[in-house]
Amino acid sequence: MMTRRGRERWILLSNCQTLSLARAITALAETVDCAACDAWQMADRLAEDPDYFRQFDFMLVLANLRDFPGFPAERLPPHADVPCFNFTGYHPDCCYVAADGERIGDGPIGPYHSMIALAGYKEQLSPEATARFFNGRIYEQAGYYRQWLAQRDRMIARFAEFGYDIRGVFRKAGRGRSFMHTIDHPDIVLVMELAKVILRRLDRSYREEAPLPVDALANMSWPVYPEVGEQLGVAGDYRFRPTDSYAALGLDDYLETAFASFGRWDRSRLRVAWQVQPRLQHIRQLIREAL
Amino acid sequence: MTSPYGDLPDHHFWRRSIASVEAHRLDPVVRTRFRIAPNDRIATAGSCFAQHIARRLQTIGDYYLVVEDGADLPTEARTERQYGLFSARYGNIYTAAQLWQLWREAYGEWSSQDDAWPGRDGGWVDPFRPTVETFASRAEVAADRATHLAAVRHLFERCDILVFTLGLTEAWRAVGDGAVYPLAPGVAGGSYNPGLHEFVNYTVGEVEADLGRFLIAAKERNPGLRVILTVSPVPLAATFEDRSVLVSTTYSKAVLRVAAETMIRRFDWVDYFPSYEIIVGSPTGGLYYGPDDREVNPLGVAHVMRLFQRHYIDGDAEPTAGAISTADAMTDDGVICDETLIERWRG
Repeated sequence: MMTRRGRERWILLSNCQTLSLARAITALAETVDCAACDAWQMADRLAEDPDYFRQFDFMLVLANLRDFPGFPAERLPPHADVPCFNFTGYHPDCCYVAADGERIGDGPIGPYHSMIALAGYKEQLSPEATARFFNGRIYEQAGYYRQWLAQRDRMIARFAEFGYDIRGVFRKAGRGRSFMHTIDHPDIVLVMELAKVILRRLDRSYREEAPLPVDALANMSWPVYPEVGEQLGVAGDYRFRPTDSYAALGLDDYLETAFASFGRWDRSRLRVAWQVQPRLQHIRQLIREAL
Repeated sequence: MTSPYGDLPDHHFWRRSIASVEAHRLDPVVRTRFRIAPNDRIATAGSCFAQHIARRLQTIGDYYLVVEDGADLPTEARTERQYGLFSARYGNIYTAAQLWQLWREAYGEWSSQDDAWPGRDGGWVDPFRPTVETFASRAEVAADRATHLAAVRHLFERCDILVFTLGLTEAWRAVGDGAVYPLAPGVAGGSYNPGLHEFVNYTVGEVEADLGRFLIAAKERNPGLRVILTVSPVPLAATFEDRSVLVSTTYSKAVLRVAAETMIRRFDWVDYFPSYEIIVGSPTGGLYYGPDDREVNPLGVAHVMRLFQRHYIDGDAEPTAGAISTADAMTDDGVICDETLIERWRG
């Protein structure tokens, strides 16, 4: 199916990155308009039209969504899978925290939390006492400085599994700046580079430069801590920007608010994902040793 | 078909070692001639970029040798009077001529006819380190200079490693005895007199000669000495040549870089550390300068000192993917954000 303008109609089914990536593909592609459908819109659209996705010429699917309830594996147009881009290299202290298995989404920075703050809370420190553990020595010992390279290689390998070569995007999008707002919200500069990789892989022509679309994920941000930024050629700070707010919280204010948020639960009920549990335990150990 | 480039390692090739590396991972240090051992004492001297090196060295360990530390003074006074800014209180040594002159003066081979200049705001300053301190009298200038020169001798004889940062080729000197000043007369003391003072812009041969003489003399005094030469990436603040300061900067840095190269070819105990290339090179071009495109920002200093520490002290290469712990690559692979927030991201 071609539009009257002769452009292919694509649809991207993905997560919170959907809108940014769809916009970037449309902005860069010579012959493609890409619509967006995120995971939570999928059910409604399929309820209205079980063949909703088949009205498009081509579909990009976030690979992880194949296990999502109601995923219409048998009712797809020609399609390709795309992995999710997440990257903790700039924000190695940032993590999700769950209480009784449910992610805490209403913390001071929405669903994102500081692992050092959580460690301090679990060790029964005050926010003030926890603040002093935000320092280069802790970051180094907790492995924060090793994250960027490890995460870069992890992402390169992950995208390579699907045939995408993203080795060059880090150099371009990360030149003197962080390309992540949070650990799983890439900024539009990075997403534009990913869009080029996808279009190249699928043999669609694209412009090397195009005006940047509105960054759909820029409504909150986790700071690049100065000590971490120093390792990465990025100017850092301790300014935690809550959702839809331009008045960022300093470290002390962030910790006070985060501790109040954690305080709704017993310490033992707060958990991070199993993959990063060892890091949390290591930080708790470092704190205990320093006390 | 064979080529002499065929079997060379990656660092020989721009595409493999530069164009494929992220800016903050740029590492042009292939090997060093020596390592800094835990007990080594490091002295610093040179232009203002050497101050950054000195400051960072003090955070790495106990390597930094300071022979004039003003330990008996309050912290504020120490800072104001430039104690600890460098290993000795010589202020900025911008030119190789100035370094060689300091050596000769320290060992009684030369003395200046110019013992003191009137300070800009009263008092008296040392013409050869006019920003270090303003003294109440000429006699105090002379007395402190004698103390300073003794400290300089002590420094050159005790240090294991001297890090010297070459800064400038342009200087002002006395017509009478050829004394080389760090700053033009009238800038931070004294008064410019065309009959007494002249401008000089050293050639590469002159820089090599002065630097070579200093290195030979210092090694004779201190046989264990090793030297790390760097070239300051800080552009000239001003040129006296009748041309753009940018063009003069290029000349000056090119001369200093060639002179450093000549020294490492002559002396196997002299090394060159490419801080200049890290800051100025096109891979990081501009990222590491402040708003005036002249001052090096803290990120640039951090990059330089990260590599300095990695290669001279830790002796490590950057961790490769294979060497990085699996734990560092582990993330909470939560590709599905909180549903309650998704409406915001739909725009």
